[in-house]
Amino acid sequence: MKNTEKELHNAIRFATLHSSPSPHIEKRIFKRIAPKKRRNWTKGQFALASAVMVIFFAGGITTATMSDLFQWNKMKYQAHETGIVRENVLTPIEILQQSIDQGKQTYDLKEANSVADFQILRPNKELLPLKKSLGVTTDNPPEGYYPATFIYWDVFETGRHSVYVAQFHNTIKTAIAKGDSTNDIESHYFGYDPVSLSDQAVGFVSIGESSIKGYRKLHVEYLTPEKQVIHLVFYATLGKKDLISFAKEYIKD
Amino acid sequence: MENLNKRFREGDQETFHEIFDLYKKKVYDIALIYTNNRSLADDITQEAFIRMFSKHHLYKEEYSFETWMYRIVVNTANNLLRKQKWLRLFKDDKEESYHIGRSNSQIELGEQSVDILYFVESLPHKLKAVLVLKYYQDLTQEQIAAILNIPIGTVKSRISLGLKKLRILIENDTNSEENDGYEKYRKRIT
Repeated sequence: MKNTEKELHNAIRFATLHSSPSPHIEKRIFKRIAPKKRRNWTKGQFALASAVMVIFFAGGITTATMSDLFQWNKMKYQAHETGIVRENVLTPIEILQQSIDQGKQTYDLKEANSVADFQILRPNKELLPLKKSLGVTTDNPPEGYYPATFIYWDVFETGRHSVYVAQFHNTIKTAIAKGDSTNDIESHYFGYDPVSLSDQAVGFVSIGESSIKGYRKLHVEYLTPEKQVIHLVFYATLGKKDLISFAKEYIKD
Repeated sequence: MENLNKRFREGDQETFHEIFDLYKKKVYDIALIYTNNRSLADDITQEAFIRMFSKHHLYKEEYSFETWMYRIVVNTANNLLRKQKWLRLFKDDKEESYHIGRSNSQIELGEQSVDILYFVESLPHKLKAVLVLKYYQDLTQEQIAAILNIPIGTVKSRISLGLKKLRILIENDTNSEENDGYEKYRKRIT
């Protein structure tokens, strides 16, 4: 055993006597572990990079718009400017008549709203039958029909903006008529902002847009001296404050 | 030295250079004895130092730097040899020419000519590591135990087993050479 130890010792001493690692190893090691330098941007380079980014994104957005990627944008534009031209559109009178002919047993406010929505999508010139308090009346609704079928339309043009007012003579007993708490009404208009318009009128403004793109919606219920509840729906491209002040003026008149 | 270790831990580049100059030969020699191959020894040295420098923050100053370094070198050598084992399957015999060469490391012991390192290389990693640290660095058994993270008893038994195996390999080789008629003829004419 001692011999083997001695031999091993000698062999190791001999092998390592003049040994040394290759000279290029040091270079390789320190190249690998050298800290990476951060690029220092000059003002000019930064400005150039920003410009390239802006051009890149602007180009992307333009291309996307031109390729009809933003369909909603187009729809909004049509609703505002040109409207959707529809041929042989039924007037509200005809729609009501059709409903009666079809033997509908009910005609509620929701349906009346949908009639209003339908009409507003038409261009201004086609809204003639609805101009200035021209409206639809069914004075004598058939038996079993709700009497909430008095619909009047007012159309106002204020500068670039248009306001459409659908009016329902609503004899359904509401909380106001009963003199109950207005909380019940508020829960009915969930998602709307309550607005106080006068002592007699309560309003509810939709926070976002109405079902018609680009239009804000305001529901107003007010009590006439004859204890009749009038339900109005304002559709307008006006801002929230302008719409409320418009509604106040409208009720006063 | 303490200051050097501290600066090393903090990742000072100049200290890396100092440490490289200080330990390059030791690391290279261990790798050389371990592999008996200059090219592989270079690779191991390079990888071991890169690992040391890139993991400088893991070094704990309360322990000896050399212990930490030797552990890295042994582990790197083991990893590389494990890879080489697979690579050898796809390489031709020319690669063997990178070995130190038996004639260089032959030690004349009377008439016997034996390449000890050639046999050390063929030992299992566990035995090889213990023998290299013991007979190259003259480390104590406690130090070897700390480096390899094994009990002292295991170090003792591995040294003894390693030497025994080495002796057997040498003897077998000597006997086979003597029995080889061509080898005898070659010796006579040279």
